[in-house]
Amino acid sequence: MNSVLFILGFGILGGLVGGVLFKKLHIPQVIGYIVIGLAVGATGFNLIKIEDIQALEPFNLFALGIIGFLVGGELKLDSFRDYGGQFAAILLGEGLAAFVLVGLPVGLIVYFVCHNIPVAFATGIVFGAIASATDPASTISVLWEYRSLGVLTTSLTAIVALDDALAMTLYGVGTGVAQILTSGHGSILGGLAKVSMELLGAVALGALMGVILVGVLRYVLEPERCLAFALGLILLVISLAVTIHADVILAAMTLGFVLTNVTPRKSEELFKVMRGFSIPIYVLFFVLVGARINLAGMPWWLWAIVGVYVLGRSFGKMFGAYVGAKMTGSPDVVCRYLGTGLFAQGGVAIGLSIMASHHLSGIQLTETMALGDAIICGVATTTFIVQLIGPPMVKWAITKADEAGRDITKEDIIAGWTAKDAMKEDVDTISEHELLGSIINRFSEKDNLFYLVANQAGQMVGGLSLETLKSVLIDQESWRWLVASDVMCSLDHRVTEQSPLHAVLETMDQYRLERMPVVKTDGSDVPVGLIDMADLKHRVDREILRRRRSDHV
Amino acid sequence: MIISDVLSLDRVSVFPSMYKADMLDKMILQLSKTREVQDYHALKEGVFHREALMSTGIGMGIAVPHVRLLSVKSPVMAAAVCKGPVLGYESLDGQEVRLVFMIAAGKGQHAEHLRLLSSITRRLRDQTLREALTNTFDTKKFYHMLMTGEVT
Repeated sequence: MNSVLFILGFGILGGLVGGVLFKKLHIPQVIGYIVIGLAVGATGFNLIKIEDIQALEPFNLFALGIIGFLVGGELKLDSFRDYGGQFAAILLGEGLAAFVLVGLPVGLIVYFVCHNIPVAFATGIVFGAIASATDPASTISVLWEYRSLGVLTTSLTAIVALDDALAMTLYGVGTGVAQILTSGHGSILGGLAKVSMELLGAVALGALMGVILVGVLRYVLEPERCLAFALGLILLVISLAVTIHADVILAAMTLGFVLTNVTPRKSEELFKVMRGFSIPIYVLFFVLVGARINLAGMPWWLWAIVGVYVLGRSFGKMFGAYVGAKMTGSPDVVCRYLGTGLFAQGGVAIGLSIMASHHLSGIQLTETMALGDAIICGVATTTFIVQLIGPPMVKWAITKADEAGRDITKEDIIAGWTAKDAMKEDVDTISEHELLGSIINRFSEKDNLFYLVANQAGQMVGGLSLETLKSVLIDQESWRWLVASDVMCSLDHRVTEQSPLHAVLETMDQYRLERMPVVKTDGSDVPVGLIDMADLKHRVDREILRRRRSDHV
Repeated sequence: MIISDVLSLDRVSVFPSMYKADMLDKMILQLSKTREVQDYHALKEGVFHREALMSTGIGMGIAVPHVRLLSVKSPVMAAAVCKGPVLGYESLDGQEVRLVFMIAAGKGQHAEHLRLLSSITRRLRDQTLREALTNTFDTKKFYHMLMTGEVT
């Protein structure tokens, strides 16, 4: 059996099943994906082996590229204009606090293990730098899953998108310092310069490809074709970023950022299609994160590092974000809950740990464990733990901030409504023998644009709109002897109060109907309301506003 | 749609004075023999239902019984002149009804139906023509005058 194809198929299907099961338990699906990964990986049944995962490294890069692109698409310049200063302070606060509160205790633990100050210092710096990163993928995935909208959601999106750059900077400086401390050569300035070049390179690359994609969208209209172009460009960005040692996520994020801010309307459809396309990629990516972890083979002190990392980082994120938000006068919900939404870590942390293990190879902490292995194993485990804690905390934060479920679309409303929810109840009815002259008076005196026509038994027999009267308006003589029955249009379709609105709209679209009478039960001719397309649009808009409105914003 | 599209000479009749219901019956039968009308009973029910809502005697001696039905394929008309008053045909101005134009159209032919009603009433606003038609008991001559609007 082709093991790569098996992993792809099994990973996606298994992950989806896990996601569905966890969703039923009201736990974010991303944890389901990771748990399935854990079950089939080194910790569990070992169905997915570490060499298979390594063979899938290009896929991981592709997934990071897609995630970066979608996250970039969430970053609107308007938000930066409004909250720019605030974001910078929060970013520095939460990133640096996590860096210090993880770096110090980890360094201490390592010192007690190997009694080597430079190695302990270097390890602390690397773990601290990695701790400052937050996983945009799982955080954003929770925000999407719970349809979150509001100032906390905007802040979370911006911070998780931007603190990769901070993590990269801290990491660059950190590994530079660590290399100098452990080997005695190299320079901090050199390390900084290298990282700056990598970050700038990523931004330049993403921006260039973004400009190209904007040009493509101008000429290619079909969303599916745009998707193909976008995927091609994302793959190019990834490969070029890897070649020039630039950050893959940052480059792809810049691509998405340029696109959404230069052509917001045209790119909207592309991001929608891309989101649909990204689902299996997301699933597999997190299954592989889980499969990578081997919980059984870790020494006690590494567990201690994991413990202080998780605690120090969580406290650092909360404390740093709170201080940063307070200092810049952010809204109360941001001060209170932003830090708790920043716990998740994922691909970036793992990626940085792999890079660190390469940079710091050849240093032994104990007889059985090298520094590189300790970093990979430790970060993989902390990633798993914070991935378990992170998404539920994001959910908790947006729920407490009353932002969950507010990103409501027209489609959501339609999917949840029945005909009864959507109908006008106060429909004016006229008798089938009412004279045209009197009907025209009604139209001129009231705002109504439509009347139902009923017979003496109260059963509806047709409908009258201004449009149907157009042909008799000139012939005023006929107003004296034409009655409603002569000029009405037949209403051949009707729906019951319980009919799902989406089915009603499909029928109306199929028969090009502007209005549809609503009856109590099947077979009834007595109207209880009317679905009117123009009125429905207002009702849906009002409902969207009602659900989105938050007292906290 | 013009009157000649929907009325042929064989559907022009001259009747003696008779009751409204009998006259309508005769004209319904006549229309139901055309290809356009597919259901005699539906036509009869429709015409009498409309008369029950309000008399189609629109004044000036004219009546235009009309109906739109699912079983009618395209608009069709029958015309009749009565040698005496149509008994029991109420009209808006109280005048006795002498000229009757029965129109049947398809359920969805809303605009055509109204245009046809409008064109027949517009033509009969000409008093000379109206009087000539009322006093003509020759179907050919009646048909010709109605089509051309000229009194011969």
